[in-house]
Amino acid sequence: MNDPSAGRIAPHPAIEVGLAQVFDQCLPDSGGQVASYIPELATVDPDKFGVALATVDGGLWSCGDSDLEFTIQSVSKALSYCLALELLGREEVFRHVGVEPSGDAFNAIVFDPGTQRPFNPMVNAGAITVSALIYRAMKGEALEFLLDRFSRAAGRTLRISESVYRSEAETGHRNRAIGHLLLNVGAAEPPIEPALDLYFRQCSILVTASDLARMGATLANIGENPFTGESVFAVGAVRDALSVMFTCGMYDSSGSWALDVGIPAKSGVGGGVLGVVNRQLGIGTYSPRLDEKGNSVRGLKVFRKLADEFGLHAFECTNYGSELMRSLV
Amino acid sequence: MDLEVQQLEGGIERVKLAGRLDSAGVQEIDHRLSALTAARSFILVDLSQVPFLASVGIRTLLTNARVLRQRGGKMALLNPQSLVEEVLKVTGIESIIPVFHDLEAASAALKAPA
Repeated sequence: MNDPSAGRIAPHPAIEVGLAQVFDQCLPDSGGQVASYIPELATVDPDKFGVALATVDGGLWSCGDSDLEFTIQSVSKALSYCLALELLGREEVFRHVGVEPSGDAFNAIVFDPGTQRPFNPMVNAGAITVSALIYRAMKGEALEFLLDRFSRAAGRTLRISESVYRSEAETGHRNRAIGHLLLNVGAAEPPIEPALDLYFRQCSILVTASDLARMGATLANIGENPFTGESVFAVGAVRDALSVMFTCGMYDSSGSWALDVGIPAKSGVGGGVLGVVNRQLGIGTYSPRLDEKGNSVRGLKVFRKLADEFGLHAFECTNYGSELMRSLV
Repeated sequence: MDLEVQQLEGGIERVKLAGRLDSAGVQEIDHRLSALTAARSFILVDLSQVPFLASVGIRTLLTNARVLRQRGGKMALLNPQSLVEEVLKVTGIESIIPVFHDLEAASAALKAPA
């Protein structure tokens, strides 16, 4: 357990003990395989394991390898979607990418047959569309814009893993194919290569489990980083992004995730998972062994146990629905 | 987690729990608590030795309280520690399962007509 007073909040035994117990219970699980379809990802140490929890009042609790860097991969999709909504507005973004769960694998080459648009921004096709939208709005400044906002959300300056970026760019044939199909159906506009490059680079941003927790806390805190006080994401965009994370964030495990954990989250094949408990918490986990659907095995387990421990599930019997309605009745 | 049963006057079972009522704790007491609520009518769960009540623990208490109520019985909670009592209060559970700090008052409430 790291120093629980890393944030501004006094140590809290119930959180410290609960988090440490969950960490210890999940540590022995060696199930799953490290991602290998991006060659550079296969080189990580499979045993690394970190968990961090950040509150909207600036508390941070962590266990294990919570400050070890790994590439953000698909967790970036949730954040870039938030930024696209802010840059282009809901209508324009919804015109290019849907909000429906696809039930297909993250790298599926499939579009909504009714609209000829990607099903949602949490699968590769949708995320590449979002990258294309951000590139369209920001042109040559798009990467700097993304890196700056991601950094503000994490509360520290983030950087890109050049080796993972090169590996992604050199072997991302499937994503390139998706990019060209997006052009074919009119979901994206040319040129697609800079948008793909932006996508490969955003996936290669290095983060830690603690970063993911702070990013999650920023989303939980209606877009304002509780550690720095900086405004990072637009209020309306946060609501939309969390909604899509809730229904689509865990690839084709999103249904069972909603059932068992019941919070918005996004996973990445780098081994990270970012979860958000609205107005309360950001949770970050890192463990690179993945299940067959591309989600971190130990990450999933941590979230399930934390949900049971701390009543995180939206429909837990200890949770009220609308606090506003509660103030009225 | 430990579970100890003491029979009180008036057919009330005092179920004294000791330890964290979290996922692991629930696994350890779930069957015994379910068996008690299936067989008895008035259960007083003594929480004085429970330092933490996880949501899975609250769900277990609610489930058993409902089973009791469906059979015409009742459940009450006794002497929760301050952190646990705060959780029960904030989550609104104390309006579903009454909380007492006095054994006599708890016993009287359990035996009072619904």
